[in-house]
Amino acid sequence: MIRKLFTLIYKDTLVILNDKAGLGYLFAMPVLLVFIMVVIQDSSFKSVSDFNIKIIVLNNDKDSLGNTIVNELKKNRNFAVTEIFDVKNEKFEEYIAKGEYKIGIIVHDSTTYRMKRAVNMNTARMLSTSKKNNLYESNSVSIEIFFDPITQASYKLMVLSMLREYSAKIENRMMMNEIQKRIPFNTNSFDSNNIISYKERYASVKGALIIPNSVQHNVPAWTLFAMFFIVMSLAGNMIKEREDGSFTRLSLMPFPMHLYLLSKVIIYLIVGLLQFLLMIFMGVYILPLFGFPALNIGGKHFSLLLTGFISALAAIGYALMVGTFTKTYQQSSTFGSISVVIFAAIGGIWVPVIAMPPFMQSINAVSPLN
Amino acid sequence: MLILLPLIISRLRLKKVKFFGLLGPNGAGKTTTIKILTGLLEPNLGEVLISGMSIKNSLKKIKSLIGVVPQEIALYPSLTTLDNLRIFGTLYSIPPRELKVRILDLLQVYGLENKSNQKVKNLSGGMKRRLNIIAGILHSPQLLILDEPTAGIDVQSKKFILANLKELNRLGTTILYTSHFMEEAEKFCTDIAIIDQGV
Repeated sequence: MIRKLFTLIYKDTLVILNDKAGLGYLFAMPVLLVFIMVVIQDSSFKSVSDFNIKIIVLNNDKDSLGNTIVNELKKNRNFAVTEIFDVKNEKFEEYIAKGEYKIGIIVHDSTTYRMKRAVNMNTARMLSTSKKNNLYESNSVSIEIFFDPITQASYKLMVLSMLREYSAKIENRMMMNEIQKRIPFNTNSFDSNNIISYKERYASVKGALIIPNSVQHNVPAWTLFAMFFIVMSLAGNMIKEREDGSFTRLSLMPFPMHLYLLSKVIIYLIVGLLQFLLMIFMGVYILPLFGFPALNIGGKHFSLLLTGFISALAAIGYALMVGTFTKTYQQSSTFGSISVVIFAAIGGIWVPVIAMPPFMQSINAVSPLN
Repeated sequence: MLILLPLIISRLRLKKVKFFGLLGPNGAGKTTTIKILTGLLEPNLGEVLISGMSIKNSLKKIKSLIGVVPQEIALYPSLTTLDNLRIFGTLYSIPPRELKVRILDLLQVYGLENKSNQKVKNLSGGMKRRLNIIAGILHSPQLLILDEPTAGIDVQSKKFILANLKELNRLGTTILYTSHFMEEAEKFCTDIAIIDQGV
């Protein structure tokens, strides 16, 4: 029986090795897919960890507020700031509309002066005992911000909060100076630093911290997806055997048919594990050569191998089902490939499961790519 | 719409070492009969006995006794002639040494000794037919069932195949052979049955 099993494995190995295009499909395509996904998603992951947004500031103010905004933004390593002066608003807007800069900020002429005046009026009104407060009508001061339409909402929010913070600081300082003029006190004793400080930390279990990046997200996710490419190969192989009559001949031979399936499971398990290891190898050693961070596998080699083993079995099980229930090669390749894409979507390969609506989260478990 | 024609064979008895021809036009039920005889299809009624054994109870044993040459070329086209025969021979439990000798002998008899390392897909139609037969007789079966083995090949190859089958029969193999060519059957078969519309 063992000899027959090895013969069937030998037969399947030869069939796979003789199909050069199929081999390329099984190994080169997944590698290419993972590489492309890492490259194209790299910028969106940098937006989380190490982005560089191009900002242009039209500083017609040339005073405290305009200068503070420019200097503070320049201090932030996430921004590439360009400061310009005396450009017409229409021309300035073009820079952003054409995509040369993601964000444009206009600090109009005399903004600091008008802000100072508004603060003075506010302070005077605050300290006044007169009931005729309406005599002191403050003028609001605005800063214009242009966004490239494709700018993510998170970028917008971040820049707006920073601008609010800078302007609030200046406003506070102006107000303190104004109050000090009216009620003398020692301004040195005023601590302008924030009383509350924020300490940023990444949550981790037992200190095992892996910061998300394109490699860390895409290599495991698309590796799993790419392993399911064997669905088309294995199901196609089964259909081909039925179509060319070799399956009929095998059916007429004195061995139990479960050996036929077992040989396919074994050989495609080896293929799946090789695919898995190849893509992990690429994540750890090859992608860093292209300037990407190395895949951090956290030292859990056995768990990783076990995951690969189980994923390969899931792919093989699904492939055997497709190969059994489809009648023609066209049916198996069409159904196999489209269903894998659908399962990938349901399984959280494209969009993380936590970002899915509750209903989709509940059906997530049906996907073999979960 | 699928129309299932009933296949009714009241009694078909093959004596040992006969060259039995099952004749009938296309769609008569010849292939279905073969499928039932080889256990690929189950009959609704009745029983198939080969060497006194019921196909229902002793299929594995019967599979070792019979050789089948299907109508289609039931070989792996991407593998070589030798690989195909090695694989099928091993699956018939032929010991490796014996298999090697048997393959060389049969390749020589069927004129394919120079094609042993050639991929099946690169062989001519006649060569594929001959190899298809070799794969069916590799384990020296007692009963050889051939489903239109000469379909779609040239006259020369057809003569060659039938002559070899005759020789095989002379050496003791019982042959059940289907065809829709009456002249062919008359020339080679010792017994003939005619089947039409499943009866």
